[in-house]
Amino acid sequence: MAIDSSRLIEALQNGLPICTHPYAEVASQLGCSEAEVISGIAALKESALVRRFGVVVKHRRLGYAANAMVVWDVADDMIDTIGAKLATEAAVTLCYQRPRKLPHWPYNLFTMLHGKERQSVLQELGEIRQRLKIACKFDVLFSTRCFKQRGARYY
Amino acid sequence: MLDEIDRQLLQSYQRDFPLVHDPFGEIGRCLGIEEDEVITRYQRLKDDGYISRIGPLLNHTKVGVSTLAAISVPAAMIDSTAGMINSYEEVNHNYLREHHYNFWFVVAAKDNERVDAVIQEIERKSGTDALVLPMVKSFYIDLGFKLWQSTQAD
Repeated sequence: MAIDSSRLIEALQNGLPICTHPYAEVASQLGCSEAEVISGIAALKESALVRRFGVVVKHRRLGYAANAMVVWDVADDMIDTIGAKLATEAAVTLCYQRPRKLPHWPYNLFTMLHGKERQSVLQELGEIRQRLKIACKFDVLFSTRCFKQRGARYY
Repeated sequence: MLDEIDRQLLQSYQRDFPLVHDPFGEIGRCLGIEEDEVITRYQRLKDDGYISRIGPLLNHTKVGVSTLAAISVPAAMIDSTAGMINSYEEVNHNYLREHHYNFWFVVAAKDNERVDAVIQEIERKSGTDALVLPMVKSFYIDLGFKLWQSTQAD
């Protein structure tokens, strides 16, 4: 029998126990079999509810201290083209369209760039703009402190 | 410091962590080390803050509801505001950024009502209006975070 995906997600959200048989431990928590947990995770990955299943690293701790949210004011009829191109850049780790909030906020495309230091991120950004010929208005919001970073809990 | 095995443990298992009876044993067989060592190393990487967890990264366009939001807070109130925002279980990311809108946070919950309620409470407690910026479309495909780009063959 397939286990309920929301219960499985909830059980996994704080992370897999680091022990010899972690799936068996999750199974005993849920009152099901180890095989059901394993096939349940495989099904979650297939279902697109889960982007990936594995190690979630803290890039800040790993020396990738410069984390810039780069926001772009892209013409509406160009956003699919530019969004798709930016998403394939190796230094870009997120690429989302979000609404403008005029007059306070003119930007509609959000990307995240990570690097070891500020200067390397800015240089990479310059190269990306040149390579993709992106001339629109943009802004760079470096993060200066991280107060919280963990997986979402929806339940 | 991290050695080559630590780097492989961090880099190579972000996307497809083994779905077998003994995943750490399986990783050990791939890397040519004992299961005990894999477990000890992952526990240390977690304790030392290199990884937040081994688990699912949810596609929040498909599960529940979430939104990015931002507020602008004076410098003197940064610490108290950080604590206030962090106190919500629904907030999973909370960053200070260099901009007029200096607090950037993500609120996730099972429905819109709860997301809106949390944002309204944060607005009330901070005495400011939030920019609420839900995702319209994702262009990004998550392949995990690429570390050590210059030294990794993949």
